[in-house]
Amino acid sequence: MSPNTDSVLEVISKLASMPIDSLKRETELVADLGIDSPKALQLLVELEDEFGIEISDEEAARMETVGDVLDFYEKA
Amino acid sequence: MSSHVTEARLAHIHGIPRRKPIDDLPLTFPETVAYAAREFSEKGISVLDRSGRNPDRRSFAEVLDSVKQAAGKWRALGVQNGDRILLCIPTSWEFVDSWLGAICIGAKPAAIAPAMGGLSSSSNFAERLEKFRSVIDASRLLVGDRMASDLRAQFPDTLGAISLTPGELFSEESGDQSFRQVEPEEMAFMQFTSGSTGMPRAVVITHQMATLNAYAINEGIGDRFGAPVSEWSELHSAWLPMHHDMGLIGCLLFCIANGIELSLMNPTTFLARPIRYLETFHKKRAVMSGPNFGYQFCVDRLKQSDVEGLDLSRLATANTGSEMVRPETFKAFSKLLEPTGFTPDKVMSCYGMAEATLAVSFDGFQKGVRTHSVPQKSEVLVENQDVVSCGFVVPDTEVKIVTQEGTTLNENELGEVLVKGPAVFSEYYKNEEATNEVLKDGWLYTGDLGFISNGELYIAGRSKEILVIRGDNIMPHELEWLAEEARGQGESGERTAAFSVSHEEVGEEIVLVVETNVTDTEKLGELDHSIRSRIGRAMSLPVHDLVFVRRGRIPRTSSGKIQRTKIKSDYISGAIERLDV
Repeated sequence: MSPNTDSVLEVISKLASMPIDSLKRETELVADLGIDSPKALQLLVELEDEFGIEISDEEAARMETVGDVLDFYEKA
Repeated sequence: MSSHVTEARLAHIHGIPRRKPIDDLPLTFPETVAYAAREFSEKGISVLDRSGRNPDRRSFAEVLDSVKQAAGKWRALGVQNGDRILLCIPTSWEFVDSWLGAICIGAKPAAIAPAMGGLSSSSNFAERLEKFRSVIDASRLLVGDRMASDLRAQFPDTLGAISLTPGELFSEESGDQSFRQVEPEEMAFMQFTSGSTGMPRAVVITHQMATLNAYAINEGIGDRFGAPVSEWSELHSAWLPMHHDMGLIGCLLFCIANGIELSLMNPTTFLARPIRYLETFHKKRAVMSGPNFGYQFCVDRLKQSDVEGLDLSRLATANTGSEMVRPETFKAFSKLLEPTGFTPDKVMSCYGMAEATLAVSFDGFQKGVRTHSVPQKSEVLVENQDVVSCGFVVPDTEVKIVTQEGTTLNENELGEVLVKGPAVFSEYYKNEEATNEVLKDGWLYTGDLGFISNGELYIAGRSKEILVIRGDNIMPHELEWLAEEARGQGESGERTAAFSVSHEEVGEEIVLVVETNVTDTEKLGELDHSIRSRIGRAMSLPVHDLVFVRRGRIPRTSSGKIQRTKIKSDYISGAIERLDV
């Protein structure tokens, strides 16, 4: 079962220390949330641990916005 | 240790004496790989899986076999002596085999960071690939599956046409597997470094430079233990990427040449789960290594409960270099690992750079991080008032400190660090102008500021304008151009300056100063976002602070070049008049 949008947003919001309602689909991970590559990997691990779905490095390399992360789980 | 000081007053020091003779040791890669298989057959290399566990181990004898096969595969593809190859794949057996296999048939590989954990889009990445490819005029490109199919779709006649995946390489019918007879003075491979013009430079590394530096590291780290590392180390464990000199030379080649058991972890695994890296050292007499960033990263990510049960009491040393060493990081790291038996005296700082193959000096005392105050105020901005000792120079190598005019200074005087020795390079690939800028009479002008005190080398900062973010060198131009692209057609003469400032705990962060005629707060806000977005997408780097100033506020030289060090010191002192966003 794919995780719901709110639980994915919650993981992102916690990691970026940003309120959940400030996250829009077009919010950029690096530019807007300051998620640099080490933090991005931490995000992947937390998402994987939380939802048990593995994200490959190549898939991860394509995620630029909050929407991209949500799309991944919607397809999963 | 005072015997290391050959000239007490002048700031000019010579290498430590060698404990192990090297007369009978090989000086080329083909011989080194064969030598390891013969002499250290019980030792080998393990590559950990994505979770940081389940080592896939091969003895050095098996490594010789797999490198021979890779050599045959490259030949079957028509790759010949002298061909340049760009490697862009993560840490893996495919990397080790294809890199060594290429070198052993006389091809010249160079590695760059794969598009991992970068959250970078493929079109930006293709631009970056082409930039590096063109510097060495590579005729082959080894990339991951997804990247290869993107490149073939988007650039079928250029990057796509020369792309090759590890799967394709290793499924080739094998050709002639024999190693080429090479001379120690021949080029073995190249490593990229940032140039002052924004174009990367490829440092030519000969077989001899690489092997001699690998032997020098064995002595340099071993000095404080009274014996070369190879005589006592049970393991060397690395997470450093293979496109980084500290990973490629300091871990991979170092272990093969000296017969040391090696464990390789993908950097993404380390960044995702740093505890897995620390776990590889459990109860082992071993060497840990990495830039300051890696240690700080452990501090930021791990709690004492994470390290419960871990025994690091036998760890020999935690080696740190390739960016400024921060004493606070190691205080915190030691505190975190206190329950494991890790002690602060295990920390060893070192100094080196790609133009010297890698290693120049190691701290020879078992006293942990030791600092010294920077001797005197100088025109050059020094951010840190207490700097860390990088110790003594490796065998057969010399370091001196000179003024801007090139005169050798005395001990305890601040100047530019110069290095000379058998591992110092003699050319950037096809770039004589750049070579002549930094190499004079066999001395490498490092662009680093430092001083010598009691025969030990201290690095105080950089006189170059390179930003070092998490151990990676970034040229200010790259950021400035991206910012200017994002801004679009601004008024002519509007300039941008990029530099980094250090923050106590987190290390260096990017600051951008952008000149603009825009005053409207809302428009400035949009501009702010588009610049951050452009840099975020292209380089996966967040901008710590973006400062808008009026046109002409970035200081320039009489010839119109922007003065980044000047604007940086204005920024630090708060003298910049920033526009409100």
